[in-house]
Amino acid sequence: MDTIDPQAPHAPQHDADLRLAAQICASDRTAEEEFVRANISWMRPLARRFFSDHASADDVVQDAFASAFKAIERYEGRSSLRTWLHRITVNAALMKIRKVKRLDECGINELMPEYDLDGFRVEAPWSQTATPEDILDHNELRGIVIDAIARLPENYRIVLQLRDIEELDTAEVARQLSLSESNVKVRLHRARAALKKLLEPILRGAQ
Amino acid sequence: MSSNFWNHAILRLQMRWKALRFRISPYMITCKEFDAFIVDYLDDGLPEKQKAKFESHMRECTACREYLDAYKSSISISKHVFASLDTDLPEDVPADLITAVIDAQNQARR
Repeated sequence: MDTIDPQAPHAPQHDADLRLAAQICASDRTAEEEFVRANISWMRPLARRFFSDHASADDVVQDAFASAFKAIERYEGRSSLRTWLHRITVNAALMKIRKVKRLDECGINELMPEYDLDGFRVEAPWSQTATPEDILDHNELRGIVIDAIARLPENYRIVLQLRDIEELDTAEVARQLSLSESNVKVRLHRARAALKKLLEPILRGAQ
Repeated sequence: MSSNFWNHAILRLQMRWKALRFRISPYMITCKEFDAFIVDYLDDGLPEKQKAKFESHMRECTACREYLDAYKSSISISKHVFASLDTDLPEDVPADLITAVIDAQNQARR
């Protein structure tokens, strides 16, 4: 692994995590085991938030570790290993949900807002909307939101996850995904617009 | 003639009037342009002039106000749902799951 210049802009702050990642890259079995033991005890409860049955949750944990071991050589220490692994676990859970529920990936273009020829919005009027309390009290809110996010195409979903769920800023998301900042903003807007469309039944109080 | 026809005709007239009103004012933007500003507006990153245009459109256009409300709601609901997934309560994990993960990594390395 390259030497890190601590004075460099955006220098990684997670030296211990970088050392552990380097050991794992070098196939150090003790480091691998330490990595698994240190994280599996919070990853499994996280996976169980997505799947109530143990078998599916354990599949998610195994898929997440398999992805993490594959990707660890690209870990740059920009976030802690735990944050990095949290993202991988959520991603593994969303992929599993899509597979188990046979959810189709949505076509992003079909979910974009519509305009008339003059560039004015064409949308059903919001004559009825659910109150924030009704929405948050909805029994199936968690499942509905998770399914909707799982249906977003990967390159849009990841931007939404990093910006809106993990609350990273645009510049950091652009660096992590090797995109331009304007590209991040365009994808973020499209992902949010698609998600809003997918959540409309619940926002309108119709579900 | 059916009331449906007249409702439709009135709606079209309203749209045309709105288009005309927004066209003749140099300060007005269309809903499509409004959408292109949303991300920067919510990040408080719009230059003053664009921010004024955005807010002026929002005051005039009910459809965009409603759209922006729904757009912001879906972001806050998603944040809420994902925050509720995190747990600070680590649990004991069966030894065989740990073994399975480590074995899978050993297999993959070969």
